[in-house]
Amino acid sequence: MPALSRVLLAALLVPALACRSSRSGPAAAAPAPKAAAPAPAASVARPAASAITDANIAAIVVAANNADITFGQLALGRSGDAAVKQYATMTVKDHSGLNAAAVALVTKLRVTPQDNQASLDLRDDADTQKDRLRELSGAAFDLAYAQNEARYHAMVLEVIEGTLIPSARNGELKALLESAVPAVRMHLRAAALLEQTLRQR
Amino acid sequence: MTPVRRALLASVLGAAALGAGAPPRTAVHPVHVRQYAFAPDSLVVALGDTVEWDNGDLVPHTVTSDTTAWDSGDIATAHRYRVVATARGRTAYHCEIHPEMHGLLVVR
Repeated sequence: MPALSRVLLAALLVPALACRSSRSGPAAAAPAPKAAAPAPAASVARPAASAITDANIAAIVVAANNADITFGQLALGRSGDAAVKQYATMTVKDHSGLNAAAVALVTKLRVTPQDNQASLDLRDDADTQKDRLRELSGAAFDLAYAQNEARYHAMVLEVIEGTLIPSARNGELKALLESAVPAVRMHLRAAALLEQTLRQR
Repeated sequence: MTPVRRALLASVLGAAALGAGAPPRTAVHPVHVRQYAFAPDSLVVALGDTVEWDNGDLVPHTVTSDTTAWDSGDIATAHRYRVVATARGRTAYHCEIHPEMHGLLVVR
């Protein structure tokens, strides 16, 4: 499991702490989750289904999309490689589309995205990676960008499938998350292929 | 001939005359863009028919002939793009954003 994924899952396991965070956003319009039943010892690796609210999920989805849009925009500005630009264009367009769908849905459902530790960690990770990538140029940048995309999409896929989909209460939100999975899988495959192509040059 | 028979005969003749003079009927063939694929990914149509792609994904797609004879540009979610088959032949097409998406249009 990638380091950030471990951090995210750990963050998702302590929603109460996240709710007390001074960085937390406004209260969600969605119904408050029912109190979590004590989790059996064997399920420590996964948060209980009621550990995060739909408002938390919305914030995580928006943060995840925005992070990869940021990476893509950076690549479009810094890379001169056609394959890298093609990949970056795809991710920027796809994550913009996914974000638009997510925002439209939460607006319809009157759910206000509520930051939690996981969405904040995603933003912090994006800032860290962006700063690291900005130090690079040319082939070194291209390879680091492709590696980061593979890492990032593997982590996001694990969080969506392992945590967000099982935790979503609203059926439409769950369906939206499920609809995003093929995009994330495809980006992961394309990132791995891009990394392989760049290494063979 | 009774009035009813005359009326029926006139009706049949009129229909025949209309059929002879009317332009040939054309069809609209839907292609669904779902889960990063064209369905069906291969389609045979008649000259003059219309092919209509509808984007059911949450991300934009394009429908672009490999010869670039036609290009939809970005088709947003829940939007459509139409092409009228004006020449016989086989045209391979793809999505410019997602290069792994391919389709084939055959006009007879």
